[in-house]
Amino acid sequence: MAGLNHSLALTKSHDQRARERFTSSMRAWVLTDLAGQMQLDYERSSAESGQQHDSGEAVHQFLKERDLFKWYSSLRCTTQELVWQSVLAAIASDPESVEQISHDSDPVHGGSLALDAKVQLPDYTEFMDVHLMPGNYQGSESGGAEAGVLYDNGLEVFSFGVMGKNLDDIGHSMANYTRLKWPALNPQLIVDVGCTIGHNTLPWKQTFPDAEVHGLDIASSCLRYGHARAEAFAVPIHFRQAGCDALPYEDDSVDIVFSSMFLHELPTHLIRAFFTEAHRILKPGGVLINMELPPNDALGAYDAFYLDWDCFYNNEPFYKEFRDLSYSALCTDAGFSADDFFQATMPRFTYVSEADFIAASGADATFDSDTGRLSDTITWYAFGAQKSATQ
Amino acid sequence: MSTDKKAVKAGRPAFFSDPEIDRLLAIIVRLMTEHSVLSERVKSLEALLAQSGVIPEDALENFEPTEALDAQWAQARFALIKDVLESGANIKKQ
Repeated sequence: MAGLNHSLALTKSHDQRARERFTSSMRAWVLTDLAGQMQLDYERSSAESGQQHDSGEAVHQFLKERDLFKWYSSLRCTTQELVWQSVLAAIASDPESVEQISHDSDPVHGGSLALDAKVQLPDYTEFMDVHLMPGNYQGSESGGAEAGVLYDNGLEVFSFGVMGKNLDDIGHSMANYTRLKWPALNPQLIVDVGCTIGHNTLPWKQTFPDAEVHGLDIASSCLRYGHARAEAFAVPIHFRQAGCDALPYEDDSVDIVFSSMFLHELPTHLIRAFFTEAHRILKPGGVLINMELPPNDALGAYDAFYLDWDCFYNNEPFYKEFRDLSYSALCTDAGFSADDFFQATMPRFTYVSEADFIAASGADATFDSDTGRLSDTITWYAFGAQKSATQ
Repeated sequence: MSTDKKAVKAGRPAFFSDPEIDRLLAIIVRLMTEHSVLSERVKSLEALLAQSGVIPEDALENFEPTEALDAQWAQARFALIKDVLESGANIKKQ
């Protein structure tokens, strides 16, 4: 871990950098070693008890009173808090950078920022800070781009080096999967919905340089930061403040609608509204692709429990409800044809050769404990649908 | 860093029979963080000093802070104590 690789990186002291390194190491230990111990404890104790569990929730109830579950859970919460606290300390010691990022957004590289004060935040964002991130994605009214600063720097600590050099491997993996699966698509307009700071938006422009790429979110703080960040990378992205249930595009006008780690933050009615909107704005032959956590019906009971943990203990209230849905039904209910549904699992594009990526992503989706589970062996999961060319 | 900035809306859960155990665990982890930070700073400093030949090898072992320096360090110690012992403030009582 070497800090953010762009010019918006905060000025951090030796001790601050050491604090972030420790926090990343602590997270890696909790999510690998301690998580492994908890799984072993489950396997042994459930075998001894003669119990078999057919759902993640049954595993959850069995484990709740076991010591290793408590240690893992308490330390995971504590480490999650440390991630944000370590970055808040860096922000407090470098207010000039935050101020500059909040106001310095000259689009010298061709990108743009269009905020819309009429966009309303859903009520639930006011009552709960998602994944224990103080201030949520929107931050405070007067905070400028501070919530974006917190998210970018925090994600770098959080991900302990497994999400790509610029926290952008998901974007690269999904854009290249799309390039390889639909070679004739030739996209002109690509829209990333729920883009936060645009870290996974940039790879779409880098993969499809002739396309116009838009990043949408409801949180102005993240968009401000995302705009400054894209300009820092000299990648022209157009950021717009808009909700996923009212996408500001004409019918049949967009080639690719993309989201990543977004749906699990939404109540089901908003997911459904987003899919309906995506189907409306896609051109015939256009593609909706969502990078997400795998559905519970594809996982064994323990892996389902492991991913659902966040729903109960990490302020992710919609996580399980989303993962319990049928992803193919989400697509067909919104108007996509069942034949046009796809799902895929793939290694991280920027960590493997293109040949290995093609071999794995082109095969049928496979599900195991690496699917969507943060570690240095993680595989990404994606699903979506192509809009029928005849519609 | 104010306590207010660290506050998490809706808080975080506790897992042990007494939530104070979760709080103590948070305090220990916070302390481990600072221990690691300090250890790496000392290692950085010693490496730089050794590389540049600035001080004799035994100078570090024989060093005593002046009164003024110790007063400064006392302020830092207080800040460390406050920061560490305020960990876990978001844990909800069951």
